[in-house]
This record gives sequence, C-alpha cells and structure tokens, in this order.
Amino acid sequence: MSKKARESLITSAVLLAVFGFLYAQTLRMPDTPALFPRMCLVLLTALTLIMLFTDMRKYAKDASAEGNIYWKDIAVPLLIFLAIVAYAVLFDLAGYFPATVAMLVAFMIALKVRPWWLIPVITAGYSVFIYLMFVVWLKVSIL
Amino acid sequence: MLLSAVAQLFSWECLSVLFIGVVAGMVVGALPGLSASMAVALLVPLTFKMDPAPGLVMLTAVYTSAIYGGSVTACLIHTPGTPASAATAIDGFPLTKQGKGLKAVGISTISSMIGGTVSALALLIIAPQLAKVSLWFSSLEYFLLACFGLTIIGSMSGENMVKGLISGALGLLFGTVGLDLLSGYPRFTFGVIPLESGIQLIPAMIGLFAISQVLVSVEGIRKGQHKILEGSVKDLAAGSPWPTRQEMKQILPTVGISSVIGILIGILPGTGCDIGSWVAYNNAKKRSKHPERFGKGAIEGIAASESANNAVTGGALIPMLTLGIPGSGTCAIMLGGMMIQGLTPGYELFTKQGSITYAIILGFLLANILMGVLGMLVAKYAVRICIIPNAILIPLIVGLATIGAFAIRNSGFDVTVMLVFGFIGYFARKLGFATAPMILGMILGPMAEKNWNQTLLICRGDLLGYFVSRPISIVLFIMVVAGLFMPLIMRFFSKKTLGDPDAVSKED
Repeated sequence: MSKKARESLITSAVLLAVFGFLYAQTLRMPDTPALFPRMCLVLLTALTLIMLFTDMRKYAKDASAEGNIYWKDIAVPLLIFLAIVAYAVLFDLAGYFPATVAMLVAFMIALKVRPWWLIPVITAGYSVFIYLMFVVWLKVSIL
Repeated sequence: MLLSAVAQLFSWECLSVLFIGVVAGMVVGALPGLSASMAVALLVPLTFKMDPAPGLVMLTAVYTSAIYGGSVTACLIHTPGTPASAATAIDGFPLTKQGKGLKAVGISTISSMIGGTVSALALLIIAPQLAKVSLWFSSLEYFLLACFGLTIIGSMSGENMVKGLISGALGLLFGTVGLDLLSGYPRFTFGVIPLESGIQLIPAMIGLFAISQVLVSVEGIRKGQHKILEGSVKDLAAGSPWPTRQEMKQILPTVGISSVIGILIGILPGTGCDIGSWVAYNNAKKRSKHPERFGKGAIEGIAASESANNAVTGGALIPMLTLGIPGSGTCAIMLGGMMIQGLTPGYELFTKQGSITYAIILGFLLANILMGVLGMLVAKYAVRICIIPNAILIPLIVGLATIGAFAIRNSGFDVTVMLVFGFIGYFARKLGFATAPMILGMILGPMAEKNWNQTLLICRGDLLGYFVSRPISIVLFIMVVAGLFMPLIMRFFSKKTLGDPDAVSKED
C-alpha cells in the first residue's frame, strides 16, 4: 500500500472514530436539539467514506504516491506549537506582557534572528505598540 | 438641507474626526481579533461629548475602514484582520506569493473604495425604498439564503471537492456546539461552561488562518524559505498598486455586481460583511470565464470579496436609519450611539433632522474615498511586511493572534479555541483540506438551523403552503438548486461540446 493510501486510511479512521463518538453523544440529547448535529454527522461519515474509497482506488496500488505528512517535516512545527501552548499558559499565569516578552525573545533566538540587537528592539517596540493600542486606547485588561 | 449638511460636514471638527476614524479603523481592521464592532463599541462613549454629526461620522468612518483594513493582512500574511476578509485571503495571499503583493493590496483598496462609495450613494439616494426589502424577509428566506451561502462551499473547496465538503460540514458541526437556541439543551459542551455560548468565530478564524500559517512558515524556514517573498524592498515596492487599464476592465463588472450584492445583503438584518463577501466571491467565480484561476491569485476574487464587504457597510446603514433595524452587529452598536444623541430612526430623521442625517451619509461617502486614497498611499509601505524575515514575523503574529483572541471577551478560553483550531488548521492544510469552507460552515450553520426551526414554528405544519405563498422563497430555492447542480450540469455540457479532455490528451 502506498504512503498516500495509508495516510488516507489513518485520516479516515480517525475522523470516523470521532464522528462515531459524537453521534453517540447525540443519543443522549432530546430529538429536537439532536437533529441538526446528527444530520451533519451522517453527512460527514458519508463524505469520509467517499474520500476513503476514492483515495484507495487512486493510490492503493500506486507505490510512488507520496504522502503529505512526514515526521521530519512536522516535528519542528509541532515543537513550536507546544511552545505556543506554553506561552498561552504563561500568559494565564503571569500576564500578557511578561509572557509575550519571554515568547518573543525565545522564538527569535530559536529561529536565529540576526543581528542580535534586533531582538530587544523588536520586543520593546512591539510591547509599546500593544500597550498603547490595547491598554491605553482599547482598555483591554491584560496587565 | 443638503447645503446645511455639507456645511456641517466640512467643519474642522467633522473633518478631523473623519480622518481619525478612517486611520483608526484601518489599523484596527488590520489586526487579527480586533473587529469593527469592537472599535465602534469603544468609540461610542467618546461621541457623547461631540455633536451628533461629527460623532456619527467618526463611527461610520471606523466601520467602513475596519472592514477594509482586514484585507491588507489577509493579502500579505494570510491573516485576515476581520472575518469579512477571509474570502480575500484565498486569492490575495497566493497573489502576494507570486510577487504581486502590491497589486493585491491595490486591487483590494480600489474595490473596497468603490464598493463603499456605491453603497453610500445608495444610502443617499434610495435609502427609504431599499429599506422595504428588509421587511419582506422572514425566517424561511433567511434559511434559504443560508443554504444558498452553503452552496458556495463546493466552489471554494480547491482541487478536492470531497475534502472541501468535509471541511464545510465540519464547520456546520462546530456551529452546533453550545446551547441549542430553541430548547436550551447543551450540545457537545462536555461540561465545559465557556462552551455553552458556542465556539466563537473570531478565535477559530485566527487559529485556522494565522496559527496554521505560523506552523506552515516554520516548516518553510526548515526548507530554506526565510521570508514570504525573497526580494529587496526595491523589487517589492516597484510597480504600482494601481490596476492597469486591462485589469480595471477585468474587475469593474465584478466590482459593480459585487457592490450590488453587498448592498442587498447589508440591508438584511443579521447577515453581515462576511456573508456578503462569500456570496459575492462565489458569484464572481461562477460568472468567470476562468474559474480555475480562483484560489490561485485571481484579481476578480479579491475584487469581489472586498467590494461586497464594504458595500455591506452602507447597505447595513439603510434599515438602521430608516427603520431602526440594524443591518449588522456593528450597526446595532451604532444605533445605540445614535439614539443617545437624540436621533430617532424613521421618517423624521430624513426631514426634521435631515441636515444631520445627510451630513452623516455624506461623511460616510467621504470616508470611503479617503480610505481608498490613504490605502493607496500606504500600500507601498504595507507590502514591505512580505520581506520581513519569517523568524521575526512568526513570534509577532503569535503575539498579535493571542492578544486578538483574548481581547474579544477578555477570555483565556478563546485563546484555547485559537490554539485548537490552529492545530486543526495546520493538519487540514497538510492533508489537503481547505480551511475556508470550515469558517463558512461556522457562520452559516447556526443561521440556517435557527431560521429553519423558526420557520417550522411559524408554518404550523403547512410548510409547503407557507413556502409557495412567499415568492422570494421560491426564487431563493431555485438559486439554491442551481447553485448545487449547475456546476455539474455545466461540466456535463462542456464535456459533450469539447469532448473528453482525457481522451484528447491520450491521443496526443
């Protein structure tokens, strides 16, 4: 089986599992609020099966069909995503400005921004802009 | 009365707040998460100390400019500043990646200016007549309008129709999360209290567009793509944001039709600029001789979306001023500001208080023109964002996206929604699922369901009788069926006329 076909199989399996779980949730709901979600889930299940069938027909025997997801490509973006999650948690704990200063400095160092002096300049400039825009003008409480 | 209105408008106070409103609106609109509604809501208290004309001129200027401002970041960094510019990003960003970011911004500016100006003229000349249209629409018409909007999903699915439909249907499903409007029963909340008010559209959109783009850009850095565009400032700012004569000829019919669509959508309460832009985009794609270019940098796509979303702003003011029915959420806030100033919507607004009202309308017209001029002036500077290294852009976008998601309701939960949708958006893009249909599904799904339930209550079991008694519903139903089946019919007939293209290529 080609990589693309395997990928489609896994994607479809995950989607069908999620839709099945959600459909089971609708069984606990009264009929009226459950109707529209059930229609969506039935439609989604049908479309996913069509997608799986089409992909299997096209790619199952085509050994050269390349997939879209390779660990070497997604590892670093996933790491960055985890870093963004950590930033959101820090925002909740310490406030926007301390979290954002830490995030900006960490990201720019990790992504190798050069020359070095750009890092404090950009961090300071961004913080001033956000303070004036959100705290002073829009009165959003992020301090 | 008109002379008095012009005299009021051209006072220093009015002109200065007009300029401030346009600039502030453009900046707010460009920042993801900040919406026109937010900007207007925050400025309403400032208008208490002003005279009615300058106060409301400022609010209308912020409204229209914020809708335009979202297109700049939509085109340049695939981060729509407002939901109304999500459709613009579909063609704006690919055009930027072709090295034509300046052109993309120029076309969106011109289109926004024309759309807003046309709607201002409609407001000036035929507001009372057009307002009657909003009274003809009931829940059945709104339901069918939502269904018509959903037929657009097929046309924005990109290369894989089934995956696009899955994405759209997922958007419909996400739209069901929260308390059911009719029964109050919590759906898919899993005991999470913030989910009872549903998944907020703006954090989801920021996640799907901005955060997913951040992750895609990180992948790009590893593959050697360090900027959105490689090139010098001189290369980028070379050329002109102004469309050529040929390009103007190409986009003018689209801008005209999309402006009319925007005005009509704007007149309908509860529809908004985002729906106007999607309907116009779909219409432009269906009418185009080269629909395959849409999604790859088609200037008609940008023109359709931007002219329609700005035309909605004027359209939405029509029922607000004539009937006291706000055409959009932002207009609802402005209505409050208007009534505090002692202006009551209705006939007297255009007679006894006519000089103030016409000053506001003329101010709105002037704001659209000024927005266009300022937009063209700053385009060459705005486009430089494309050569900022991704290593700098990425953390800035993360910071802006986070504060944008948070600032809507001062809620950390919205930041969580943004992250979840960012994750979903990244893998959706990797696997070939278009993300725009998901947003459309989230916008139109709740509208369709709510109005369907209301229709069932109103018709009391005689749905067919109720349907045939309403001519607008019949027209909309035909449009829905045509929207669903026309692409298939056209494909069938073009294959018959031209022969099977696969067979031709095999022969070659």
